Amino acid sequence: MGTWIDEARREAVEAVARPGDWLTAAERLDVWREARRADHDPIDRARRAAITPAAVTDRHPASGHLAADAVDVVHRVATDPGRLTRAWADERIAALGVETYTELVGVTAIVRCLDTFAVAAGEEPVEPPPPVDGEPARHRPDDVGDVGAWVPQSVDKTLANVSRTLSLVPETNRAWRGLVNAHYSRGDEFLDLNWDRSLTRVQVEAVAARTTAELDCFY
Amino acid sequence: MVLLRESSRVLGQEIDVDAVVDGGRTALGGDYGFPAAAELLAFASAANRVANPAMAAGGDDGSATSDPTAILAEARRQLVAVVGPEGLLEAAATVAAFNGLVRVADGTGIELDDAMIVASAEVRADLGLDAMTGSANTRRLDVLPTAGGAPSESTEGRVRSLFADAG
Repeated sequence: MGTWIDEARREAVEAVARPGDWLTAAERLDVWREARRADHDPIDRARRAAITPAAVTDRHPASGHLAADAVDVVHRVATDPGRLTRAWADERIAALGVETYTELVGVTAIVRCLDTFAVAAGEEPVEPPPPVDGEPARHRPDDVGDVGAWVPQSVDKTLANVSRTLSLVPETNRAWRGLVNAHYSRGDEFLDLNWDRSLTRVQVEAVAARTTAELDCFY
Repeated sequence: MVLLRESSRVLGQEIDVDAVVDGGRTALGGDYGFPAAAELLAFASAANRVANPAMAAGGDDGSATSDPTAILAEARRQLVAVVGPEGLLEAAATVAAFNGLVRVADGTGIELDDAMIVASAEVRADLGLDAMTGSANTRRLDVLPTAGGAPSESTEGRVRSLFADAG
């Protein structure tokens, strides 16, 4: 299993350092830096402690490559995802564009997955590589629409909602789904509740359930 | 939580889901209903708290007397003792995957799938999950029938409908 995980993680690191859907490589790497910085940021800690996130009105400044609204998305998704609201997202989407908003969410999720694995497994944190030159793909898929989420998603109803969260940004989605497949679902093996892994299905789902509870996730 | 309940039913195990999601019950020796449960859950909580210090702090000043990193190291050691190094990697990978999944789900404001609304009715009621902020994203929680998570289809069909192609 270790080799499989290592390969997927290496591919995801390389993907973050490449131009994405609407963000440059430098912007995507700034997402990584900001997601890490958020862990110890006094504004984020104060917001997390407040009875409601709106009680803290201080704002993060722009970073080297990201506008202030983009920094806010990264920090909020990184540190307080369970208390995000549609009104907050609508404001950020109005400022950034829905594609950029979605990519910021996706890259934050990818780097959180990478960093959390290192913490959990007792490995050294990944050193982000230098940015790769080039332009973002800037491709909006044709098969996306309103399926009830805050952002347009694939209208393919054979996919569960959690599987099409990032379908608006295919480059980011590819990297994200590769990572989840290696860490958790592993293709058709996911359908087998009695799978043959070093942990049973019940054990894995218990770890998953405890994790979502720790992170205040309803879904 | 739904897949935990589904898989435990298929395997004929009685799982205390309430205890599984209660981060305060991490002391070793608890009876959760499956092997190495206490070690796995203690590890999951410890890993999440080190990986998410802003969330774990909950607004404290960071001066807590216990060292989260030391707690995680001990939890890791105890987990390896019962599930081996490969089991540790599997658990770490699961914690990591769900640290991402939570963020794409909450960040894009997805609704619960219809099948999930029905299948999760029992566990949502048991644990009071509909009071969470994220429940507002699912506009039909009170509309769809609550069959208590026991629709009449095959296990594969149920899993596919709940989390099809979760990657």
